[in-house]
Amino acid sequence: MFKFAHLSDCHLGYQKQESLKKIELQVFESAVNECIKRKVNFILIPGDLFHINIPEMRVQKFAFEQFRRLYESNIPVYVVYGSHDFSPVSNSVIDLLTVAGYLIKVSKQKNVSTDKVVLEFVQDPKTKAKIFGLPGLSAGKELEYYQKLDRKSLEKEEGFKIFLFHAGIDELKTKAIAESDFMPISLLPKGFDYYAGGHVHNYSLQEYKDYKKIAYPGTLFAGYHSDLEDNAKGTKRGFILVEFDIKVKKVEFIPIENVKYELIEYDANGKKSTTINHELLSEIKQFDPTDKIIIIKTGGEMISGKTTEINFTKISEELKEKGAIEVLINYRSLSSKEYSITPASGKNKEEIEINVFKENIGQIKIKNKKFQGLTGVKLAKSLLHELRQSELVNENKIEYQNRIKQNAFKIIGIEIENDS
Amino acid sequence: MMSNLDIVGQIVAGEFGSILVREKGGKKLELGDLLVSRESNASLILQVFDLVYGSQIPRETHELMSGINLEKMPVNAEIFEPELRNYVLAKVRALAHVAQSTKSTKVSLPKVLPSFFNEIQLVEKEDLKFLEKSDDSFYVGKIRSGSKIIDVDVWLSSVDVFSHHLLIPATTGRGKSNLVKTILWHLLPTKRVGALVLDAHDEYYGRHGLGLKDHKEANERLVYYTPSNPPAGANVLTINLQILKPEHFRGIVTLSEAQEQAMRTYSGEFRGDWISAIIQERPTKNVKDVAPITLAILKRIFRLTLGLDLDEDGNVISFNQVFDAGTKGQTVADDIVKDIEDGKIVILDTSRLVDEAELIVGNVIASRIFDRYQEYKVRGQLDRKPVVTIVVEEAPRVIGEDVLKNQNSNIYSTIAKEGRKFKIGLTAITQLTSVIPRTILANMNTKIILGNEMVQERQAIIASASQDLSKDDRNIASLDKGEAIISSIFVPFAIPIKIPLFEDLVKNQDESKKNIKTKVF
Amino acid sequence: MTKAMNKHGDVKSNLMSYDPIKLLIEDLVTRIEQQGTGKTIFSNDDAERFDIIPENFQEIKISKDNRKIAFVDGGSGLLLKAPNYSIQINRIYFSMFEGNKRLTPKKTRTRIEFFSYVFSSIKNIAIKKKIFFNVNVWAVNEKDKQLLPNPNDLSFDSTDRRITDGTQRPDLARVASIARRFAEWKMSTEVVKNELEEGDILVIDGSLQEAFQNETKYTRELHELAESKGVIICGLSKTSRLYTDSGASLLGSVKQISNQVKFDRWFIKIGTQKKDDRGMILVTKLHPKSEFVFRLEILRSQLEKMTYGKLNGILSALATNSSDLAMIGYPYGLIDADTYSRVKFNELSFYGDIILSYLSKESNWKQVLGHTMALRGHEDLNLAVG
Repeated sequence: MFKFAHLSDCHLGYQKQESLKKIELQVFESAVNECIKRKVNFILIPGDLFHINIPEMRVQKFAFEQFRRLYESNIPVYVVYGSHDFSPVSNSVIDLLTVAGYLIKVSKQKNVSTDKVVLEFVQDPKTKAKIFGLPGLSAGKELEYYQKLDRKSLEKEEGFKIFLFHAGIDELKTKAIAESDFMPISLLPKGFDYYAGGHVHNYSLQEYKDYKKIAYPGTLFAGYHSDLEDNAKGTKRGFILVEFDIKVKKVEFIPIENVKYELIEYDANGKKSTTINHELLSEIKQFDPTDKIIIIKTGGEMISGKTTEINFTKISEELKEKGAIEVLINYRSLSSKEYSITPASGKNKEEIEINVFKENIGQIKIKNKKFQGLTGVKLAKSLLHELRQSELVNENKIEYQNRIKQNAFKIIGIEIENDS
Repeated sequence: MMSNLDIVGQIVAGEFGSILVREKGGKKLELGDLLVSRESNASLILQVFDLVYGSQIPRETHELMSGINLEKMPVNAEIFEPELRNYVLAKVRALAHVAQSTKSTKVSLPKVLPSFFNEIQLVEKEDLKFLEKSDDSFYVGKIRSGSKIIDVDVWLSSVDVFSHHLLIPATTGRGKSNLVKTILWHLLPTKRVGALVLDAHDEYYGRHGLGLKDHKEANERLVYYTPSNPPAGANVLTINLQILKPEHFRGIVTLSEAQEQAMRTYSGEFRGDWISAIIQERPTKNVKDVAPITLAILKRIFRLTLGLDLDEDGNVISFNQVFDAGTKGQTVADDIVKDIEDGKIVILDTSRLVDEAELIVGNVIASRIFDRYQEYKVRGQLDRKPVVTIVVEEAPRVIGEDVLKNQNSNIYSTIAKEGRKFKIGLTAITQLTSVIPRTILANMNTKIILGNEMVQERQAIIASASQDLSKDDRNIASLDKGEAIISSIFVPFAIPIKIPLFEDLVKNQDESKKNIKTKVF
Repeated sequence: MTKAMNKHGDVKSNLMSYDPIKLLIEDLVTRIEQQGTGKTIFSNDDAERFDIIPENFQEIKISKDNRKIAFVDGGSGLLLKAPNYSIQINRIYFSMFEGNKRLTPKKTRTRIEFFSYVFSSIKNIAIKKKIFFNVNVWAVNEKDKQLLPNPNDLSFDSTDRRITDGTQRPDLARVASIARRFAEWKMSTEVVKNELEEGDILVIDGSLQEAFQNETKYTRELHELAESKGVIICGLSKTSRLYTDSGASLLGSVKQISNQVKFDRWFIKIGTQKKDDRGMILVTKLHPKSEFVFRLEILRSQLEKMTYGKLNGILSALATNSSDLAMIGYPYGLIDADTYSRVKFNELSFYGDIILSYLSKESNWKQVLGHTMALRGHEDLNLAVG
């Protein structure tokens, strides 16, 4: 009997807060420990191992450490790019790890032909499992791979076969995960023994006619803010352990503990800003925040006051003083009747944007005529355009941010000093 | 200048609505031929609707002549100048008055007779220049004059036609599938119309052979759902039972009041699990509410219509693999609605479903779209949304007189009556127009009429057409496969067309995009 | 008168033997039998006549000889009538064929129309006052003026026996028909002049005989031209009131005798009625399946010079044109000419209304129309009694 671990969507490097960065890496290390302890024959990671293709050095160093441990434990790790950590020019840290021999990319194409994508497998030397895979790309562009995939050649292969893929499957959607850039199951090659999926952040194991065992382990900790909310609601995180010989014998979810949570969901609909402040402050006194991640989610339309009048900073500080690991506040759905965006229509995106600005410019209470009327609309359009600019090649993040900031302020008409 | 070669006849008598044209010898006018009478600064487009013999020789003499011929009598005699004395009279009617000026062409209904004794020509491409393509048009075919094809393309405004309902009346073997495929083929690239196609014979996608899947934009614009063995790129059609509600059965399955009440009771108590609860015969809190016999009948109804039953372990299973009591297919309806709202064409392969199941599935999705579009209208967002059309075959199943009389109205009849306000229309395909109520037929503002040999059906079609087709009975009866007449409030006159072969459309497609290399990273 | 019962119980009387129809028929049959067929055409003077016997019938052999045949016919319609005037519309038409193929004329207009108006006048003739009927003509198309007879030739003594109806003055329509007849001659002359060559034929509907004062002027012009060009002039009549010397109908007699003749198509020379008649009368059957025989006249001066072959050629050409199934045995050209020269009934009211509308603009229209009353009594009586 053989075993393999199926991890996915680790999104190493996603977290911004120091406390969370630490947990992120701790969780990954626990997963690695578990794999070594259970003496798995190999590990599968179908994408989004990292949150971006070149994360910060800290994350890279960590990754090298952990994969070296696995390498030294004789546990190969088979990967494909995900939608976050891919690079069209092999400029991802995945590639560094692959060159170092710590990772094995299984997305191997036989020859670049016009019509078909013909894949080669990577065979695990110990178990003889044949592993195929296709990477994820941003914005669902991997769909083209599947549309051109030569499924027949894959389906003809004998032996124990695993398919690694980084995409959502339409037929496996639930109300909880109902995203639109998924793909139909019919695009996967039929008859594989195990389909190791990535991209979907919640655990799922399904069977379909011609497709046994389509599995998503889910994220190990969090790759989106909503993952942390799910964690707070009790969603278990971990990886999948599969036992097999000529067929899959057992599929088990192995939970990896991360941290405790407290979730506050507050409905601000019809309330004044003062009321909200008061109620939130009293709400946070109802529990012990020590060693927990506190998630405050608030939404609704305030009857008076601005969203900026809610003293989230104070709430956050109070909780941290009491020992909370981190306080995350989500007030994206919070709006104020005093200041709300009126939607507008138009024939195209450009027109819609202009109309929205026109509809709402009256709400800006600034005396400067530059921000009023059609002049203001024009300025807003220019600003939006500038903020949309993407990073240049050979421009690092800091340089990019500074450039954008400078240009943006220039548009508004404010001189700033050129600092970091 | 008209050369003698161009002239096919001359106006000799008649009245408005039935003008007599003497056919020039050898010109062989056909039923349905489009002719043109050139007036000063205008032309009148005419169409032949009947042909009769005319002669300067009495009939008895003809009979005698025929007798001599048939009986091979040794009479050395003939008809002198036969083309002068025996001829064909074509009964024609005016279809359109086309006034030409240097700036524009104005087309209107004819209100005058063509000039008496005017010489007549067959219509040419230049005469029909006013039928022009607009941005959001879809192609239906070329103009047909009798059995001849004129190289003038006929385009219909997709937004107008589909929001005002489309009826395709046709008997079997007249090219209905070909027509629908042709229409959908041209709708594919546009985002201004989304379509839900209930494909009862699995003939549109092209699972075996050519179909919509062969369109170069099919990957982006076409979505195909099928219950089993989906070809690559197609989705599995699975509808989660949680989505079905009692109202989805209304107007489709005949239910007694007790049965409807039982459904509502179970739905109220078991929520999304109500169908499973009925099949598993789970007792309600108030046992007296539902009689065992009612429950048994409902079980039977679910078995017959939805293909649901219990397995050995008491779990609800689906014979047709379409309905799921577990977790599958929870989002299918929403996904389909979203695709339609993106202006895509969604084909549901309902060939494995019984009629009721097919219509219930359609009901679920159509109701959802209808509700959403009603909301968009309230929010003032409707103009940003594409027009939606629901393509239903054998439309009398849902909008037939019997159905509407005996059962409650259903979403299809609601759409037929009110959908226009919300940019939702029906594309109804039927062999039996006569059983659809006139109130609904009157709302179907475009009819693409294919051949129909049944008198009653032709009369029903003619009675509800947007143009006066009272003289076209014979014309419609003699329509060959692939020939049609478009009667619509969006065209200046009833246009005879020849629909292209779908296979030719596919073959003539521009394939230049195909040869792009794909590298896997 | 005595009455008696027959065995059926019917009342029998002397009067029952009187069956007028039976008597009539018996008498008719007897007379016809007695008449027989006769030997020759009836003639009062020393005219040239030929026996009507089977031996004199000659076969028409169809030859492939191509020659043009022009057919001329005229028609009239009465528009308004009174004892002292009448107005007509007249048409003269011609067509040309070669066998069954219609030919397009080179120059001559195929149809002319003209109004003719007959009016009465009083003339002093040798101290006596006489009523004269005069015809005036107006071409519908001014271009056709030259083809109309000279009105000076159209003044007739109302007592001229050539036009009277017994001792009664002639119907003015009859007088008007003379103008039409003269116009037919003029048209014929024009056709011969512009369209026909030697060996071609001109067939006029009716007889070649001149019947009216001044008619010779028109016929002479035609005959001289035809002779000079070698164009054969014929007249073909659908009906005939000629008699044989036994009083029997000429055509009926010829037909009867022809039963003994084995030819499918034939002709027989008959002769002339009067010594100086222009046209030699023949009777001909132009198609094997035809029930009809026709009186055909050929200009005597031309016929006398013809061999059988030449004569056969003419009749063969006519026969070839006579195989239209609509009326087998009658030349298609004459059917055609009749069609296009005829004034149809519905046209009369059209033209008549125009005449009346013009008339109504005249201040003395009542006076003009008043004269028509003299001839309307009969019609009104018909309307009154139904």
